[in-house]
Amino acid sequence: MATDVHPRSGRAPEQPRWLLVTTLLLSVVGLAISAYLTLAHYDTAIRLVCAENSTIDCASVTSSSYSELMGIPVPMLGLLFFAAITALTTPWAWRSASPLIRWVRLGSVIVGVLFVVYLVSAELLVLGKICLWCTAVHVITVALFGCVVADEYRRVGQTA
Amino acid sequence: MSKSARQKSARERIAEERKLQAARERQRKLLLGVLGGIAAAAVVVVTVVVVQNNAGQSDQKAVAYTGPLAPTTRQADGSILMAKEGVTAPTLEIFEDFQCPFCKKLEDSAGDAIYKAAADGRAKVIFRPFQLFKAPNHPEPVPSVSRRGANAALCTPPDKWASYAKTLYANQPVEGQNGFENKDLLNWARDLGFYDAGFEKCVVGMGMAGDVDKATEYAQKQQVNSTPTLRLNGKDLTAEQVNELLSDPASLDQILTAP
Repeated sequence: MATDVHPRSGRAPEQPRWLLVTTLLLSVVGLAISAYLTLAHYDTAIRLVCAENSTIDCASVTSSSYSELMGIPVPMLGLLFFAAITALTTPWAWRSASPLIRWVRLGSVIVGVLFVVYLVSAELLVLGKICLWCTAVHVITVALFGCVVADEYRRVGQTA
Repeated sequence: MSKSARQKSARERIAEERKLQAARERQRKLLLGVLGGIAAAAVVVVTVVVVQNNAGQSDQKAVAYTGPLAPTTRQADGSILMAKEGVTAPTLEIFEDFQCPFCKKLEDSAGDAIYKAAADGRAKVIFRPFQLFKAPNHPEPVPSVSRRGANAALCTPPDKWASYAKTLYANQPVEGQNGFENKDLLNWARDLGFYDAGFEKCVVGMGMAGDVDKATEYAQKQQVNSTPTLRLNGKDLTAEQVNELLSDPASLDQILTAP
């Protein structure tokens, strides 16, 4: 794909537009859901009770012992994660030539996916319950991982 | 085309070929490294979650309450009365199900504060264990676990109530998993030093099933359809008050002294 490379600068071509749009959109939606879940975690108006006729509910997952990691509420971790990822997937960050940004971005999504593995295994294997909003965040995280790896794949495939 | 020109273009072609191959190799390494690494780490993570969960469940020990304790008696309706002599108000009623994770949270957070408030004479406390989780709303084994827990708690001598309730919550099975097996229920009584043949008969033969049903009926009549439900002088504590107790046991004082 030598023709993709700018003949003079030898710099990587710009990321395809779909990548810029998709990743930023995913990041912002993830940020919004994490913010909602963080608020819900601290919301005292939500009744923390067991009800006679409740089956699958978010409250039992978001208040389980797996809802905090070393004292930090998981939604808060999600909020921090998506704040960082949003910054790392702005068009400016994508176009930056800095290898640091590139590696931090790849590292972040890898950590994100592993955290999803941890949370989903806790939901399925231990709690036996699924939280819908949490699942939305998990899907977004995995999709972001896919996008970032796809871009890396494209980059290392360049011959110049 | 001269011979040298042909050779040059052939060299270029080979060089380009090599570059392309190197690029493919980098792509292969990237995918292998990232996906392989994640797969390996994922196996580790899942294993840790499962092992930790199993370790937490196999380590089923009784937990004794060692703080100050008010005289505790069983009342005719199956409830447990915990009050210092002569203390008649305020009355704090606690409707609970030993299978309910939020009741466990309440015990973990404010259990000791509640026992202490009764011992200090700041409140007359009535525990009303019942079976909140019933079929068909809740599939097995949840209702059975709930029922076995309530029965065993009612089989316990009243003066051991605090310790046994604490123990049941400490070993609460995850909703949907089995637990509160007779063997464990009896072992905890041994740990706490009150095991006897009568207790075994009561636990194994569900000797208090009648009282559990009575308490459950009473809770239904009182329109208690979630746990924990806390009542002060007959009035439900608000969700905010209960939630605060879940995070800050000191809030019990304000609740009890509120006009």
